[in-house]
Amino acid sequence: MIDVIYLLCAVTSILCAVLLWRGWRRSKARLLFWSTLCFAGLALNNILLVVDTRVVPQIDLALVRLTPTLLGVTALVFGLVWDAE
Amino acid sequence: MTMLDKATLLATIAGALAVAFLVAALHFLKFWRRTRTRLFAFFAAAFTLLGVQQVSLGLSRELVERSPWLFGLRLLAFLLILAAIVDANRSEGRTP
Amino acid sequence: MSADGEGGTPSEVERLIALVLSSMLHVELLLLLHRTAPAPWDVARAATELKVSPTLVEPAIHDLQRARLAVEVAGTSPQSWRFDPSDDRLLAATAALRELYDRKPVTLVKALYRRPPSAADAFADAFRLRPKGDE
Repeated sequence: MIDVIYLLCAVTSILCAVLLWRGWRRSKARLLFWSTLCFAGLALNNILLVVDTRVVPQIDLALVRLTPTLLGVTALVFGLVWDAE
Repeated sequence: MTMLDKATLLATIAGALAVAFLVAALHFLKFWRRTRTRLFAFFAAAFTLLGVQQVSLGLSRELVERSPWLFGLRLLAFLLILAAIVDANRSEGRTP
Repeated sequence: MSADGEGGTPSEVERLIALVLSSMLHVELLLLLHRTAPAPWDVARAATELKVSPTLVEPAIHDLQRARLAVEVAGTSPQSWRFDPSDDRLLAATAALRELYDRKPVTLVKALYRRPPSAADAFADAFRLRPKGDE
């Protein structure tokens, strides 16, 4: 049940990443590039949560999970501050 | 010089992540105010929830959600994002 | 008279459009302030005059202020703005905009639609499965 939630979140994130990537290719607006990275990071975060809790519960993947997420959201914040008029 | 232990490192990263979510939410809020495009209101709410969830996680000293409350916040955040996408495709998305 | 841009739009008007005029509301608000200058307008009165919702006027007036076309009038309650371009080029561009609006409104509308979207617009548009415009 919980895995379903994480997977739903992962799928949503992947959808956002794909749409934003497509939008970036179309519009060249750099904010969309950074946003794509953010949602890729969130997707990874949710997928790794499933891996951490189900696949390798004996290993703590917290650092592996949080780092791409932080990088992704930081990329988004950078884009929002720097590239959005 | 003390060595950085894992718990401190994780707490630092988690804290930075929480702030990043909330800053992003503020920017989305600003976009909503400026353009009145509903998508931004949804995203502002979603990212606020993700930030709050991250803070709650940190305060509970858990690294993975165990309480339904923390699952719920994450789920709600992503449902809001899905709602934003559905809404954007159903209507014009803003008052003309 | 400056060189014409695409379809007969003066280049200074094209610049204004790219700078701040993201909608017809922005155009009409700017022209309202311009023709009644230096009279101050607050959000509610301007909205009534333009027959639009005040929630749309508020961001637009701030956009015009940020673009140095309008300034806040100090000490007014509710908060009011008046037309006050920060340099002559903006003044001339507004005059050219007025002329285009009066004489060739269709050209103006087309120029507005040709405007490249802001980053925020592009972000929101990305989530449409069937995007606006032909690509």
